[in-house]
Amino acid sequence: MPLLTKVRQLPVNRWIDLALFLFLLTFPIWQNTYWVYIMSGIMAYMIFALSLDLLWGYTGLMSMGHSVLFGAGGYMIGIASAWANQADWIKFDQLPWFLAILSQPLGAFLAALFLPGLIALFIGLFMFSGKIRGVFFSLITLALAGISELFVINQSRYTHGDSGITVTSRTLFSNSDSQRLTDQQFYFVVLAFLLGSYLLCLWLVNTRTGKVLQGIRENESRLTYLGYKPAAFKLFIFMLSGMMAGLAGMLFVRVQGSINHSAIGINLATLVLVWVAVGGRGNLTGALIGTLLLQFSETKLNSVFSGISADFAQYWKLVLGLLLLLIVFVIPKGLIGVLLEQQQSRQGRDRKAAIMRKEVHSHDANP
Amino acid sequence: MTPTHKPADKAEAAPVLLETRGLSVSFNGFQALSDISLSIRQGELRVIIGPNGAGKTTFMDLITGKAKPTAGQVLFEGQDITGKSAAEIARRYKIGRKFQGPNVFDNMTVAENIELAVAGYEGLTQSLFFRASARFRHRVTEILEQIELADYRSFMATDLSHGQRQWLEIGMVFAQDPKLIILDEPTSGMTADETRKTGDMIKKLKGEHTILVVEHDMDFVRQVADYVTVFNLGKRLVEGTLEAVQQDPEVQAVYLKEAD
Repeated sequence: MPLLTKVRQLPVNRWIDLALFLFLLTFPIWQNTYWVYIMSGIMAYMIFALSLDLLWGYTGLMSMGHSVLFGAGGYMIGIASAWANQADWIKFDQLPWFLAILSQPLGAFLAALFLPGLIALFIGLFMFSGKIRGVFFSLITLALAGISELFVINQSRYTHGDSGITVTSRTLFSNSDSQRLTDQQFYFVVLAFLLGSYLLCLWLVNTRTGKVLQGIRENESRLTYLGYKPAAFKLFIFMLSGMMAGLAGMLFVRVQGSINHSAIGINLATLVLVWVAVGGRGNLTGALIGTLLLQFSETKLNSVFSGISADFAQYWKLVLGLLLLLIVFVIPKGLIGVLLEQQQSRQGRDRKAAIMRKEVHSHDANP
Repeated sequence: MTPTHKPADKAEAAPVLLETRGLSVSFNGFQALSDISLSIRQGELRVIIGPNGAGKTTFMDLITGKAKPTAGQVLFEGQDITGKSAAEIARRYKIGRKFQGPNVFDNMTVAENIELAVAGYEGLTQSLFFRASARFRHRVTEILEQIELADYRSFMATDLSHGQRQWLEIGMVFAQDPKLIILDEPTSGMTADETRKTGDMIKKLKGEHTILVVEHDMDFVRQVADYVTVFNLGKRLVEGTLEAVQQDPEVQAVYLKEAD
């Protein structure tokens, strides 16, 4: 196929991805430190949204408690940092054996990546071998988010309970206060991870494995009769998605400088569902754009309205709820989904016309 | 219930591929199938007919591992496959099945549907590092031509007509490269023209592949079948060539009763 045709047939959303990454790359040049800091957080959330899109958009597994994996990653950094930086007079003697790894320089990083993967493996083994599907998967994950939130509030010795942990170090690996990257430097660290995660997702969804995952979404039992074992694929994508969510949590905590129970609970689990639903499922771009639009508007509107009403945060949730209802009723495929649908129906019309011409032609050739 | 006629062609000499012995199943006390013994030889095209509720689809379910029999055995190439999982029967024993009504991956392209069905890459790591070879792409194109969908490869399965979706699923079964092809009502909902084309597709495979077809459409049965088994009320009624079966008074009684 000639290159030009190939480029023209590229899904329209890939151009949006390109534009988005160019925008993010140049963002710190013309924006002040405050917005660079805000955008770093949003980019960490974008990684989180991508991880949910793999699971929900591509595989059809709607996790309503994906924040458990995000929070597990975040809390690893939180606990490691709290342990490394506490004043000597309140130092708890030792981390428990299963958290001992957090005292190592690279330990927190690895734990934040692999603990969520392990949690996903454990939950997945239980659910997928028990053939739990559809709404039951959603309900169980939702319950897990609720349980996890209570759990971290209760384990206040390590998690500082309700108030959460302040994380003062902003580096990739180290948890000591003295080493600290600037907002601008850390922005590019997060951007690099976002780009890496995006490219990994883009590669994965175009492999045969990616097609099998979409097959699970479309018609899981048909796959079985083609000789596939869907449970293995579901377990794989749940673990990978969990590790990405953990990575997002880790980066977010480093940006934000704190973590509390809301990052592991139903609040964030619901937010990420809204981002992906508004942007559109199953095309990666929707997850990125949905997160950017909603989080950016929240911050912007917050600064506009905070002078008028102190309760802005509550009104914003009302707006989000109404927006979600509107999207579900009017454009269930999400913003990017609508764009893609238009392109596909245009290409479909062209192909049908080409087939008609061909048939007429062959009819003329041998009457 | 003895065969009224022997199969006429050389299939007589070929080894038995699929054999069921006294296959029975009941659901909540309802006896859906009782004591079905049947054998199909390599290279044979066997058509199973019978009125609604005769147990034809249930019989397919027992062979492909969708349901488990309460009694009896399924032997495939002499090996007992009774009660094995659907994935194992598809992958290890190579039995491919087309379901009643098109059962495809709707929001994926026609080519993707066929590609997923091509056998030999069902493992997780296999599929992760899979790269389509020239031979693989050629195979996919070949199948698309076989099912008359070569021009439709980039269409979403959901945008095809009902008959084309049926063909797509038939193509998916071909792509599995199965030793036994099971087609459950392949022509349901098709136009007369599409039905005839489907018959041609299946006749082309005759001899090379072993095929088991369940069908209602008698024009289609006449077009493809030479050896027929009739089911009624969960039992095997008669078996023989189409002409012989049509002459059978018991069969006539069943079908006349249905016509009332």
